[in-house]
Amino acid sequence: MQIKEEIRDDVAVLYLKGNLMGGTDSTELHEKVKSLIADKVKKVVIDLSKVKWMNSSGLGALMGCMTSLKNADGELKISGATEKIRNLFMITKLITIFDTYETAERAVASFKS
Amino acid sequence: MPTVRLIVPSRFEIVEELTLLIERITEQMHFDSDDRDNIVIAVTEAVSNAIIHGNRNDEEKKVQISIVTSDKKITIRVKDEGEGFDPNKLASPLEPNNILKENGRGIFILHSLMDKVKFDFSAGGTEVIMTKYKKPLQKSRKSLTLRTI
Repeated sequence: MQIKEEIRDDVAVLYLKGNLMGGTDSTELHEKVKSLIADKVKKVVIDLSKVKWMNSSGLGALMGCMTSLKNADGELKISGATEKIRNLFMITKLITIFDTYETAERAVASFKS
Repeated sequence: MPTVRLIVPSRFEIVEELTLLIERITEQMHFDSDDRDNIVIAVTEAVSNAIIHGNRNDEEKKVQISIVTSDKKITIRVKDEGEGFDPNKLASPLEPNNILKENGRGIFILHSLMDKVKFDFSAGGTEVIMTKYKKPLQKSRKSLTLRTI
């Protein structure tokens, strides 16, 4: 999985590409978010529009990122979840936990509203 | 019935490769796209569980996978070399105390995405046996053509 980082004002957008199914991918994502927190960047958007497959390990990685940000008084927003990823959010009820947006732009804008 | 059998090391690259194989098989079986996605995700869950929880990421330990297909269904068996577990003792990941946890959703997702899920611990390790049935209109391209005529 690839992670492309973009900083927009005080918001970091992490564009993921590939699969989020455990192993080093999940660890890398969580480490990336932890390094943003260490750099005082506490508003993070994770964009999933180019993630093809995700399973419970990927969901766990997102939960880990969210918890780390919350513990640092930060916030995580999710954008671009495909239908099959949204389906996973629905069946695990994480749709009620994650703050989700159709696009990264909307997720970034929501930090300002 | 056509059967594919694989014995693979406990490495995560295998999970990536399996997605391609399962996509191809379920496409050839004419499952609809939702069911294809569900089967692929379920297989990645089962194999990830076998690698992480069963074989404890020990690359020397193997994961055995068998895929049996017919006109009506696909059955996938995934077996690890671990110590097994009690499926009845798994906590629901939907409970308020568990929903924020990073782990504990894999088996729940298997049950949600597949029509039948069973566990067999009789031969040592854990074998998960999961089945997805084709919806009536998906039986085969031939039967769809006949209906159209």
